[in-house]
Amino acid sequence: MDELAAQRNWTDEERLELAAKLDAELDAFIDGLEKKRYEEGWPEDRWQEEMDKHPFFMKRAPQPGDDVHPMFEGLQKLKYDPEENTRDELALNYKEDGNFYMKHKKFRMAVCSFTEGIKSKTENPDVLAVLYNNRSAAHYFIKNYRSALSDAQRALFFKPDYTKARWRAAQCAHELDKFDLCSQMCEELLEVDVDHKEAKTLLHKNKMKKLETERNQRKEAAEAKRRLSRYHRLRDAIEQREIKFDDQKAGGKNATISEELLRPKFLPLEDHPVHLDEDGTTLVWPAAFSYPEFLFSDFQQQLPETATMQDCLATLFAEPLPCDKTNSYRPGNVHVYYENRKVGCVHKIVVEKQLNEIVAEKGFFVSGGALLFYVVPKDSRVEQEFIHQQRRPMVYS
Amino acid sequence: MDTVKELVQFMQPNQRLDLKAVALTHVLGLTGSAEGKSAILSLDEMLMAIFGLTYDENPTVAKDAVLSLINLTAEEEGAVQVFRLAKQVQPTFPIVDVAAKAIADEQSVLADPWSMVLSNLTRVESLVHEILDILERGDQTLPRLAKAFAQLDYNKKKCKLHYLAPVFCNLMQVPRGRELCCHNRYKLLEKLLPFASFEGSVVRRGGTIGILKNVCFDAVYHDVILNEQDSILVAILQPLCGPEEFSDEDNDKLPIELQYLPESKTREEDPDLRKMLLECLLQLCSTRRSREILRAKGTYEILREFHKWEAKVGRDSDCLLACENVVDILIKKEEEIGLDNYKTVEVPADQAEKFVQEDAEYVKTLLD
Repeated sequence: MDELAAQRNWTDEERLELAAKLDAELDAFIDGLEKKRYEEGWPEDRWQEEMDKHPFFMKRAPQPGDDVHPMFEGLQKLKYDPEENTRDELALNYKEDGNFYMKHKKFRMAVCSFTEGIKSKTENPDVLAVLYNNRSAAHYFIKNYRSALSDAQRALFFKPDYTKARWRAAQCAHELDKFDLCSQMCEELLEVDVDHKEAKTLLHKNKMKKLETERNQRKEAAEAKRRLSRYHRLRDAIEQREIKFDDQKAGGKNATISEELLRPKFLPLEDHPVHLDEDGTTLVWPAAFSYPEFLFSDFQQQLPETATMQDCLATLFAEPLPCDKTNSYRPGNVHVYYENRKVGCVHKIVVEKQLNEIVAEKGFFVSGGALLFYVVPKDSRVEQEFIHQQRRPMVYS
Repeated sequence: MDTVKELVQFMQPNQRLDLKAVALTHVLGLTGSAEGKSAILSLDEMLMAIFGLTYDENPTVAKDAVLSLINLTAEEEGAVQVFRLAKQVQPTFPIVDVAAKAIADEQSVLADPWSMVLSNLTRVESLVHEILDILERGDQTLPRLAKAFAQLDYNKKKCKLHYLAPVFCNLMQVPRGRELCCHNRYKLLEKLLPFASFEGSVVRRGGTIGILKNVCFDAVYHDVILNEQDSILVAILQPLCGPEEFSDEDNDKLPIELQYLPESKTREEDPDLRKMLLECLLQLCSTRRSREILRAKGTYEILREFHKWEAKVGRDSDCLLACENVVDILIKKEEEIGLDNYKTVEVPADQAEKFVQEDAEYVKTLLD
């Protein structure tokens, strides 16, 4: 070969001769190699299956439970094996995964990746800061504001001048109505960059939200106070008149009047519990007028205690009762009674009397939060049956 | 005079600690009296020695030095002299910078004393421009002072920094000071305003109300005051509001911070401060536009309740008069007033005297 190399001028023929010689040498070499069948390739009939499993050609990621191609396993090991990677590298690998998921809006997967990165126990504060910051962003987009805030704050712990994390913390605080924290974060941002436009806007928005929330709380407190004082005045008015209630336990004078006691149990009267009128002087009652003859009742939702029974009858019979075939139910042709359930008897009402006078009668008890009256035609069989009906006095335990 | 001169040698930085301390204690005692003060102020070397000792490592010595400066600057003459000398000496004693630095330092135990010195110095109108120059040199200085003032737990060595309120108030005596503090970029004013109702310190509260007064007396700022933000108006009205209930419609007129105030709300207890607030409102009544805004924001309703309270509880006749002055303008219709700007009216001198006399007579009749 040396003589060949020494030769400086080659003719074309000599070159062709050399090429042919080298070709022949190569053929001889190949022929000399062991002959074996190629068995490592994919079986011809299942080549598509095999291709789907190959990490370079697979169309979808392996799901849990699938068999993994050894090459895939190998790649996984390379990327995730703690022995193959330093902690920092591992953490950064997970970070890249997480960022990839973020780009594709797979926020929950991103959270997982960043979490794995954090678990890698890297000690590098910059890496940790980024992992927490990014996980905070992932949480933010799925509206886990508490987790997002906590992560943003951890990021700031590792890197106190991390503006992105601070801004994220400010936004989270705003969503969580943590007004003071939000304004603190915004102020800190503005200290570093006094023209941070978003921080200025958020600072203002946060302040407005805080003021509104506080105002609403004050308004609610004022209204609660008003309701309570209205209730106290009502209660005082009732106690003053020494009104008796059916459902009241035998505590006598010291039994307190509760809102429950005053709640009308009759459905049509439900929304009209007894109350004081605007002047605060006259009680307004819900009342039920029962017709034993027809077994149904009329309801009057708001009767002032100064109205007489006659007034009530006039209203009740302003239009004749549909079931009243004999036109017996007219003012002047009916008697009105109330039941004394304690004793088990009925009392006839003097219709010229005002409601408050009737309510003050010894045997009158408010029943089911309302005034209950019975209306029967004067001197009729219905009346007689009604009066003599068997009644048992209420027993107290 | 001679004693004072003798003390100077013991007040040099390299002296023994006990000598320094005793000499300084003596000097501090001297600053408590008028003769002592003038003796010290007449001796430049003594002042220089005091400047030097404010840097001393020993905290008691340093503090006593600053306390001496407080007393020496308490009056205008002393303040001017101290300021000028600090500039003249070689090397210069940058008194304002030192003060600002101590105040901005979270760990400084001298922050409060230095703030009092600064408060004394800024009170002198002739010095304010130069002091503003110095403070403006570092563009974070004023914002940092505002932050130290607004954040109640700023100083970790128990300094309260209440005296920053009069400092800012004094700086705003001049237009340039007002401009700096009202400048939109830093929002300094917004940080200072909430303290007009600060119950914990009359110095802080009074200083902030002084700030309000300085701003209101400059018509240029009336628009700033009465823009949608309301923060300045709220700062003025809040101390005048009480626990009385307003109807829902009246409440809706008021700025949001003043709506539905609870039973526990109390009014400003110092009558001088109440009067200052009412004077602010009076200033704001000078232009038509401002009057209309004040009416729209429920100022009359607030003053109506205030007047009842002042007559029964507050019982200060100057405040009652000041209140009535504002109410008189607010209840008039604009056609009756017919003027766009009250300040452009010229009042002849003899008439003016007569009005003042009438007011004084009237004031006497206000309280029974």
